[in-house]
Amino acid sequence: MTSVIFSENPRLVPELVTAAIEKLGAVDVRAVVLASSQETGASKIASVKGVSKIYELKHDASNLVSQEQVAVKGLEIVCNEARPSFVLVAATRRGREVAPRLATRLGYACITDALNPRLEEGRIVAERVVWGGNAIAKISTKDAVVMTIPPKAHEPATGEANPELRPLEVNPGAEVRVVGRSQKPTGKVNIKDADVVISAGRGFKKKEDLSLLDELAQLLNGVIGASRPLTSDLGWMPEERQVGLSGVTVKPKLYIAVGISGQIQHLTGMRDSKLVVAINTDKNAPIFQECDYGVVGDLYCVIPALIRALRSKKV
Amino acid sequence: MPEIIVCIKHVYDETDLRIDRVNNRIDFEGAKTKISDDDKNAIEEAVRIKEKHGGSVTVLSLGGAEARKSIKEALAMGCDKGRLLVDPVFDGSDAIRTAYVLSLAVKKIGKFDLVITASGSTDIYSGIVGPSLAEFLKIPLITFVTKISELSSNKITAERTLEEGLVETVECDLPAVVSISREINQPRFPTLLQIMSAGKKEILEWNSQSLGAELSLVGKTGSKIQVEALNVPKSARKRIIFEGSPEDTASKLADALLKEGIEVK
Ligand SMILES: Cc1cc2nc3c(=O)[nH]c(=O)nc-3n(C[C@H](O)[C@H](O)[C@H](O)COP(=O)(O)OP(=O)(O)OC[C@H]3O[C@@H](n4cnc5c(N)ncnc54)[C@H](O)[C@@H]3O)c2cc1C
Repeated sequence: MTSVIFSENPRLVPELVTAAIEKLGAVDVRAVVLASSQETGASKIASVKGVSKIYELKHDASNLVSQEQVAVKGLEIVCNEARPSFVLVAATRRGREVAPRLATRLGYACITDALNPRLEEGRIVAERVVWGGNAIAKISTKDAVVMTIPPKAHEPATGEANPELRPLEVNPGAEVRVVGRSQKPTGKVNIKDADVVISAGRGFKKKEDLSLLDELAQLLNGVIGASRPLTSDLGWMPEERQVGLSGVTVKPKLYIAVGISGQIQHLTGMRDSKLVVAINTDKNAPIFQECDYGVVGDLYCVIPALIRALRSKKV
Repeated sequence: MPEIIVCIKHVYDETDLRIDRVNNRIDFEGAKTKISDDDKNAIEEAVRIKEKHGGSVTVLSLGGAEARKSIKEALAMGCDKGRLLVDPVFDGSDAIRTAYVLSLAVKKIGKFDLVITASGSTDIYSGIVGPSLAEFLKIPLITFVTKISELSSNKITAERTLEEGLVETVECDLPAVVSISREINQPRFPTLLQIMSAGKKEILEWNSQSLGAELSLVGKTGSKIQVEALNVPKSARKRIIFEGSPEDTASKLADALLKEGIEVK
C-alpha cells in the first residue's frame, strides 16, 4: 500500500510515518513538506526511516503565500501520481483545512481527527470522539481516504533514512493572499507539553483568586489550565490554556481539576492523563467518576491546606 | 450590498443525551434539539454584516423537517430567508455529500457574496463541510476566522487564528466561503417580538429534484464513510475520594500524590 503524508510542520511528519507503517501497513510512504516553511531543512526533519520519497513543495519565496493553497495543490499533484490508498495529514488547523479540500478534489473519503487508525478486513477503520465526548464513533471506509491525525497520538518514527528528494514547483494561484502574520503574546506557558497541569474551573469566584494556584503550580512544577467558562466566556485566561473538546488536549503525568464539574467536553481534553485529581464541593460532580483521587471540599480551604501538606511532607 | 448565505445544522443537544455506561448505549429518544452551537456565531456574524453593510442573509440547512425549528430561530436572530434542503434520499449523507448538496443550493440561489459556516458542528465536529463546500463551488476559502476586518463589494479581509496564537491576516476576492471560530462574536438572543415576526419570513423547501442533485452522489449511496458503531467511552480511574476537614483531606491527598511518585519542589 502506498501512502502520502503531509504536515506544514515537518516535526509532525515522523508521527505520521508511525501511523502509516505500523497502524495501517503502508509499504511505500511518501512525505510532502513545504520547502519554504520558516523552518529550514524541513526535508531533513522529515527524513526518518520508512520514508521513501520526499516531495518538497517549492513556492514563491515570499513567506506570505497561503500555505494551505500550496499544500492542497501540491498534494493533488502528488496523489495523482502516487495513487495512495490513504493520505495522512497532521490535525493542525492548517491540516484541518487541507484534508477535506484534498479529499473533495480527489473524490476520496475524509475522516478527521482519526484515533487508532487501523486495517480491518480490507477496510480502513478509525475512531472519532463525537457528541461532545459522550460517544466514540467507529468509522470505516472501503475507499481511498484522507485522514487527519491528532498530534502526539503516535510515537515519532526515528532512524536515519535517505529518501529520494523531489522538488515540486507549485503555483496555486493567488486566490487567498496572506497580507500579514502576527503572534499574539501567548506567554511561555505551553499546557500541551507540561508534566503537571492544574486546571481552574467555574468554582473560582473571581479572577484574582486564580493566584491561589500559583504556589501549588510552583511546588509541583506545573502549569495552569482552565475550563471553557474561564477562557472564552469570562476571559480570565487566554484561549490556549483551555483544556477540552474545543481547546487543547493534554496528557500530563498529573492533572488536577480544581472547581471543575467534569462535563464531557472538558473530560475529552484530559482523559488520557496518567493521574487525575479532583477538588470540588459537590460530592456528585461527574469529575469524581473520572478521577483517581478526589477531595470533596471548598477549594478556597483545600488548596492552601494542600500546599501546606506538600511543603511539610516533601522529602 | 452583500448577499450572505449561512449554513446551519440542526442537532441533538449533546448534553441532553442519555448515556447508559453499563449497557454501552446512547439514547437519543426524546433528547432536546438545537442549532449547533458554533452555527449561532456564524448567524451572528452574517447578521452583523447585514446591519453594517445592508444586503440580506439566507439561511440554509440540510436536514429533516425538524430542522425548520433551527431555521426559524436563525430568522428570529435576523436572517431574512430560509431554505430547507430536505429529501429522504439525502439521509445518511456524510459530510462531503452534505457539502455537495449545499453547493447545489448555493448555486441555485445564484447571486451571493459570502457563504459563512462554522468550523465544526457540536454533534460530530468533523470540520469538513466548509472546506469541502468551497471546493465544490470552486471559490476561495478562509478558515478559522476570528475577525472580519474589511468587506468591500469585491473583497474580504479577515483574521484567522491558528495554533499558539499565530494570527494570519488574509484577503481574497468575493464570492468566498468563510468558516468562523467561536471566538469571533457573542451570539444574540432574539427578542420575543423577533421570534414572533420570524414566523412571517419565507422558508422554502428544496428537494433533490429542485436542486438537480445527482442521486448517485447523495445519501448513503454517495457517501464514502460508514459509521459502524457508537460506543460509550470507558473510564478506569481509581476513584478514591477523601471527605472531611480541609487539613485532613489535603494531607491524605498529599500522601497519595507522593506515593504515586509525584515530585515536589
Ligand atoms: C461544543 C462545546 C464545546 C465545549 N468545549 C469545552 C472545552 O473545550 N473545555 C471545557 O472545559 N468546556 C467545554 N465546553 C463547556 C462544558 O460543557 C462545560 O460547560 C464546562 O466545562 C464547565 O466548566 P466548569 O466545570 O468550570 O464549570 P461548572 O460546570 O459550572 O462547574 C463548576 C464546579 O465548581 C464546583 N465548585 C463551586 N464552588 C467551588 C468551591 N468553592 N470549591 C470547589 N469546587 C467548587 C461546583 O460544584 C461545580 O462542579 C464545551 C461545551 C460545548 C457545548
